[in-house]
Amino acid sequence: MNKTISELSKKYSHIGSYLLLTPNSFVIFGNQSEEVSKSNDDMVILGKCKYRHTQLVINSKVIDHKEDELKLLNSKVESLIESSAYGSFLLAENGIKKIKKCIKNIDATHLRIHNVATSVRISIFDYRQFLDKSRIQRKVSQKIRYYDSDNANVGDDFTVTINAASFLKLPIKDTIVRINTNGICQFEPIQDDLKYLMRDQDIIEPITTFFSDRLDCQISLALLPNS
Amino acid sequence: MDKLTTIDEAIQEISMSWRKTTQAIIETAKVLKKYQLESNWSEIQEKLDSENIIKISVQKFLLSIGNNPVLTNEQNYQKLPPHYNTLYHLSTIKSDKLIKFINDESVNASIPLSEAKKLAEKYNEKKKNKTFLPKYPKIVFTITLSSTRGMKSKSDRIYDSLVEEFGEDAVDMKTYE
Repeated sequence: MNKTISELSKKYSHIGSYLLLTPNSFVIFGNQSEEVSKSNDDMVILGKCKYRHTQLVINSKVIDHKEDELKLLNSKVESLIESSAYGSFLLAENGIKKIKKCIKNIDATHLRIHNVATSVRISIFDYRQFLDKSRIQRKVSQKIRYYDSDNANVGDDFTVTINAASFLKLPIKDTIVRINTNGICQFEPIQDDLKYLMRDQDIIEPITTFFSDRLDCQISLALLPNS
Repeated sequence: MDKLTTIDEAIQEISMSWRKTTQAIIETAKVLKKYQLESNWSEIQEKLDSENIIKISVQKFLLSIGNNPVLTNEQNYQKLPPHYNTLYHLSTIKSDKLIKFINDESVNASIPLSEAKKLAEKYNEKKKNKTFLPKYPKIVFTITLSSTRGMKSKSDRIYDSLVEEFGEDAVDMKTYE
């Protein structure tokens, strides 16, 4: 097996088993899992490498495929980063560590990244607990935890929700996060020349819904969760 | 001109010039920040890197510096170190804390990289996750039963009556066998 293929397949096996190689770059596509909460098929990694051909590799095996189609696929992936952005911020190593710990602690399904004026807030929550049908009764409260970063460049108001299972795949390193206007969230670790792209899941934690009648009737004004 | 004055002047001139390094780093960081949200940002990044102007990792350091409101405040330039590495680590500290460090001179123009790194790590470790749920006063009852027989039904009955009175979100129940 080619050295580049074996190295990349091994290094990113935890992300996905589909690898697209071109002469100057590689793309890893996240895997779909039978268990929805473990799927990271909303995630793609873009990196640089030197390779002679344009090929598709699945589970370390080169698959015969038309080169033109693979080039087209690669250009579509690259077009995801050719977008203007609502904002960008620094997510420090410690922040990533804490968010990952929090995801595990509350068994979170999603993270919502949104601006609060000129700073950025990341809300971590378990969406299943807000669904009436699947909501587990008693003892389980609807927890939302959040992390704030004021090292931010906010151009416009934004809100984007990403899959917690995909976030868990990120390396624990200082990372620049860019919120693109095309619904892609771009994570770039400072020390690596890699881009982790995640797609907006387009949901918002419905914290304005109160399951307690007593609590509900005592609240006359509730702010929308976008601020 | 006597010797002392010459030395003082020399030091002043050199230090003024050296301090401009801090200003130049932060001004460059601000310019990068200006273009960071543009649609052709990835091309700008690539070109800066391939033409050996600024390496991508250094660009990211500078972006973090440029996004920190305390470091980009011109009034603080004089109090900051003239090294992008050191400035980067300071940029990871939250604004309110960083202002405090600058005011008490823990952060100063000659702070070494190792010190800035330590300061950022130490402070970041102290931060705690917060929760949206406000902290209300709590009442904790402990009921000791003589046997486990009927324990579940009794606890469910108590739980239900408390929920009726205070609402489900206000009541939490733990049982120990």
